[in-house]
Amino acid sequence: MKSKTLIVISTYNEQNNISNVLKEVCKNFKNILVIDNNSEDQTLSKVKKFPVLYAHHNYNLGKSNSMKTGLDFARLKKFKYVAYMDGDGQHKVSDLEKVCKEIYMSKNNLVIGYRKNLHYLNKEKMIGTKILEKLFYILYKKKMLDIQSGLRVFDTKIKKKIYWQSSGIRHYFADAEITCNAVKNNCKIAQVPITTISSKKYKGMNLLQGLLLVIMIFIWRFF
Amino acid sequence: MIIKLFLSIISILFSILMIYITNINYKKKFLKKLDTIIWNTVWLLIIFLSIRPKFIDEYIINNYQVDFFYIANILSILILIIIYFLSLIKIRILEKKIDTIIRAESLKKIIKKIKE
Repeated sequence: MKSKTLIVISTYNEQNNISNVLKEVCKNFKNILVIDNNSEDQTLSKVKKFPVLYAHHNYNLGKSNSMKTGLDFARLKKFKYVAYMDGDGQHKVSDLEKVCKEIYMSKNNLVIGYRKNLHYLNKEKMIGTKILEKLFYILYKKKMLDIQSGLRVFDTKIKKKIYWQSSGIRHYFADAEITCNAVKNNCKIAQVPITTISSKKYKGMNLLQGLLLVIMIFIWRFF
Repeated sequence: MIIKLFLSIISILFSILMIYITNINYKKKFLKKLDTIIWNTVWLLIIFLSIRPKFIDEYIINNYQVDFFYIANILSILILIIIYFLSLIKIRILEKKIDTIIRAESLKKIIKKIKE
């Protein structure tokens, strides 16, 4: 089954983390696609040292469009599954394997890794995730523990059901939109606990983006 | 009275046209859901104000005297919003085209590498 899975890692200025991430991923997976969003540092030259496929966006299109490129490539090369993980080293490869194993063994269309040890994150991020969880339950009547998790794998057949419109460079709404679309369109979803590795360099959303995400969750639900 | 009626009809027709353009651009995926909702609300609000212009007088401006500058102000705001809206659509179309071109180009390069 691993041969039918494409691992997509999107990067932007990750020269300090990408080597460690790829070292681990290459041990366990064969089909890896790194999508670089025109990094200004040495990320791309470090990626080239590994036996992975890499795509280079000539301009920074944001994480959302990188994910789209990954999905397009997976569909083009007829991969059954596409798995996403972040290039900043916040996800463990053992967790990626766990998430992939879950989709191979079950009949689920989408498997999301939820961060179980949120208390390791900073306070704002932890509270924000909890609020989103409650709001999501009220609106979608389904308990999703981490709608924004970047570690996820899905069947490429459900592309039309989950396809996302978010395309901002400064926010990370694509993951949340995929979750919302999947729940709304009755995809079979499983959640697997994963470990959070807190990074010193906080790259998440700020308060304003968090508020905008709340509005977007309403919009995705009703329109 | 006739001028007022004429202006109201013009702004209603403009707004209906704009609602049509908004929805066409949404269907072509040049506009996002949030944009579509906001812009449709703006056009509906303009229709409402055209039908009931006294709404502003009753609830916001008491004892307001309608004169030429009042009408000119309303019209100029309307035109500004329309220009802003049309330029926003053009930006969104360009954004989408650039995204597609860059992504397609990067995909072509990977496939070329695989073939090599």
